[in-house]
Amino acid sequence: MILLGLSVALLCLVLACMLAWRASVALWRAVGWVVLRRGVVVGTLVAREEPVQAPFSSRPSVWVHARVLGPPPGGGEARELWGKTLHTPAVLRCAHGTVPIVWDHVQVLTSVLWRRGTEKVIEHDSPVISRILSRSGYAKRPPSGTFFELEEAAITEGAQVLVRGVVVEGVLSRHADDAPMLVCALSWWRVVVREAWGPLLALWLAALAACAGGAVLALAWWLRRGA
Amino acid sequence: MGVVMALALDVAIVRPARDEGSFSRGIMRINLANQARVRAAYRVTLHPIDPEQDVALHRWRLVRRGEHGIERVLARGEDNACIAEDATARRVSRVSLRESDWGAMSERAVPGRLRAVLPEARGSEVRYQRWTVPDNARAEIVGCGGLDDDNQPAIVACADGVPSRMFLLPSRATVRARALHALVFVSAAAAIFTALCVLVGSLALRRWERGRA
Repeated sequence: MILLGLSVALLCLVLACMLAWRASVALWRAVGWVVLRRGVVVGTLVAREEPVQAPFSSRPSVWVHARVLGPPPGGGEARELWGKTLHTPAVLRCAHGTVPIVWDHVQVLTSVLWRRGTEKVIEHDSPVISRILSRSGYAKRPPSGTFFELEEAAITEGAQVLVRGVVVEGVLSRHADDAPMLVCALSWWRVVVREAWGPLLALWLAALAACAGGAVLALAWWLRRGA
Repeated sequence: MGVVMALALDVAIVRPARDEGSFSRGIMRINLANQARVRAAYRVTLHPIDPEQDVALHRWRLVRRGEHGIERVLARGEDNACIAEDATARRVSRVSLRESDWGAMSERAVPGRLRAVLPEARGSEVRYQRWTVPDNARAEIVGCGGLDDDNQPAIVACADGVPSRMFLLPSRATVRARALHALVFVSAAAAIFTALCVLVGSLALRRWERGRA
């Protein structure tokens, strides 16, 4: 019986190690640059023209992506009812000088403002919701039990940002590897979680599996010692 | 006032008192076939009890002999739960001896209140209640039975001439048998859990890679 326990423990540990290895390799490929801090430019985003206004929070921003999710007027599964990305020409002030940002080539990671509620509740925070719903086809107010979600990701004027890329002759370009260029206003940890959620989840599960194997191993060892 | 030789089992594994054995004139004839139903890891102990003792319905309601139709105690388990017989000779299971209220006993009064002695338990490993003396102290067991203030099964042991309430520890063989059973369950659970973790982890990795592509 002890031998069975030891075999199971060994199997658990081997499987956990295999999963952990695969996850670690994927994690390193995806966010190794976060650890090495290579190909990263840190600076401040400054608008060259009038900042745009975030639709829901009315924050003056250089880049904003907002969308409304909910059921269509006829009912059914929730989907994106309205979405818009707004930006204004901006430059990055960093150690390399002033570098223009071409928004079309940049993947943005930033914190997301999120609200969920009925139209009446959301309207209290964002009066613009009624107009958006009207444009989405709602001829009259939606039923009181209908829930909507608002999402607004914005980079405000003058925000400290981090750009994954290199500055070559005053132009921001992709880094050598195939990682997408991104601008973010998040902590390192949140960048890792967003960019490598798969490997992180797999690593966590591998750790749990290893713990299960360890528990069996400990029990078998204790029994063997007492024998 | 005969003394009934009773079959005492760990109450946790006593099945409903339907066919534990047959009773006649204060002597219990143990149905040997029935013993097979008892897990091997548990002790089967015989010890005498007073059939005229007042009994209490299990844990909560104290009754006197004769009340609720209970006429006499037939068998007694190690946590002091009993099998009693009512006037119609139908056995009533899971009643407790009234003397189980150990909270009312003072240490000095304990030896005088003992009704049952477990000769088989003499020399067994005991643990003092509430850690008043070192764990590994050994004591001679002079009696057993009853629930203490915390409703824990208690025994009475005598260490250095001072009787006290203590817990009886399971034997090493019992602990080992339980641990072996636990090992099987833990192994099976760990294997299933690991398989699930690896499956979900692999799926997460694949989905993540597809999202990046």
